[in-house]
Amino acid sequence: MHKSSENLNDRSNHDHDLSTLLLVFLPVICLFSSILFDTPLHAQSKTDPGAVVDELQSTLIEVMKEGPELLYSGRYERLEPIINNTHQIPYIARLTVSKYWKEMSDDDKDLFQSTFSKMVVSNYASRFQKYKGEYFKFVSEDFMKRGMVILVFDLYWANGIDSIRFNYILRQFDGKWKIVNIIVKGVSDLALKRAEFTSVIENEGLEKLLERITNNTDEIRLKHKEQGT
Amino acid sequence: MQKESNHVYAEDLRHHFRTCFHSLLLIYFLVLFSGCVTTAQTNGNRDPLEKINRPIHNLNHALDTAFLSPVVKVYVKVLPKLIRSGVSNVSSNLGEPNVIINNILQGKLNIAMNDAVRFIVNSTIGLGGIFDLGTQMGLEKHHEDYGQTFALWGFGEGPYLVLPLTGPTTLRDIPGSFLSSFTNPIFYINDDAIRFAIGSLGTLNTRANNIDNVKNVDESAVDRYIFVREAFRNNRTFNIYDGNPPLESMLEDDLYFDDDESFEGEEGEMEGKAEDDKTSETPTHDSEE
Repeated sequence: MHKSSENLNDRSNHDHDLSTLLLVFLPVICLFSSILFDTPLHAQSKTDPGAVVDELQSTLIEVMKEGPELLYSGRYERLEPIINNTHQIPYIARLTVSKYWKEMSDDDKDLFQSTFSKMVVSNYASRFQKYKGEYFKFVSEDFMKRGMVILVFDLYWANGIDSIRFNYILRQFDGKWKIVNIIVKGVSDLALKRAEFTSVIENEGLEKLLERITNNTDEIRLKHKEQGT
Repeated sequence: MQKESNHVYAEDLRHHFRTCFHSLLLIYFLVLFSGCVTTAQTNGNRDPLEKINRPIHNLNHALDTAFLSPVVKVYVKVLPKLIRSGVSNVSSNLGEPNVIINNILQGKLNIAMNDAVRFIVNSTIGLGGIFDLGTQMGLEKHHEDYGQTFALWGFGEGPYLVLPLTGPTTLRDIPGSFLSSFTNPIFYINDDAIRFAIGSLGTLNTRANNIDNVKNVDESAVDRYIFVREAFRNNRTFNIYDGNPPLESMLEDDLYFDDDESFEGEEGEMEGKAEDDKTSETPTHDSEE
């Protein structure tokens, strides 16, 4: 099942021509792309970690169904509290900058976390716009070392054949399960951001990183405003 | 006499070339297999050729933005989705022999058989692959390539490379790019123009399928080169494991815990670390699917 799912759009051979290589972006993008989940997760996964993922996906369903009417700003407002409730954003933000966290001043830490949080919500609000009949199917739940839980889902397209694998990594904070990473088709969002962020800080400094994140967020907002989406 | 001399010289040259090629190939595989080329990565630098790769990546992106992307926009606007889907199916079907061979090389004989039947069905009643009847009949689509096969055989990944026009790859994947061309039926079309046209259409179509994805990368990436590199590598690993990488590999301590010290005293809120030993004994749940 997952063999076909990992190749949703890839109907070509695997020569690494320019376009084929673009498919490597697919997993990360699909994390935020125009997808919807109409299967109630809590009906399949009854644990607390499952409920957290359910909360996120249920909200995404609602937002996407109303997406065209809500527009970007409406989706952002609806998603922001849910994302903050289901993800441990401050923790994730810290991990993305790795060793540089210790070098930041308290003001820089606050600014970075705030900027990062806006980026995450902005990405969700930008990409979860329409419902096309996609749905998630619960696959497994594994309790791992150091209090980590991995929830595995396959995201099926409306045709019920093609799917993409999602792995949600959760751990507890103050007794509440929170998402700390999402791995889509093998691509770890946290690892990817950490590689990017630490590279920018190392080569150009924290200010440049903040500037780029802010620019990306602003451009997303402006783009949707111009397009009326 | 002169003609014969030239002939002998040409023959010597060919022999010399073949010998050199074989030697280089042997060295290539020995180096790759020994893992020497991965040493640079394990020593901390996961991308020893970044200074060369990055400018090529930027060039590729600029060329894509300037030339390919505008053409793709027209392509998507002009051709209905149904036709583009047919093009995707044909392209996929042409790559099926490569998948079959690699399944055999990986010892997945049942899957190879499945794919062979798929190829026959789609090539015949699927009208040359335009219609993916194989999938409709329950013959699952698989994706294997020589890079994955070499990985399974124990070859190291080697350094990450970005090639002009073609983009990301690794040293391990390069031979597969050449080998797979021989198993693609397009290779055996004698007419260069037709071959070029089919290849271009496939490239155009694949790029078209990813318009939104590329836009989303533009929105997310703060360092596009790193973004593509990490996504490429992660995804290759995922494919090598046929979509089921070991769960433990998703929980690298240095990713989730190397900063824990800096969190202590600030929040004191994380329970996972404190419950380490206890939770590590928690039995793994079976799939509830």
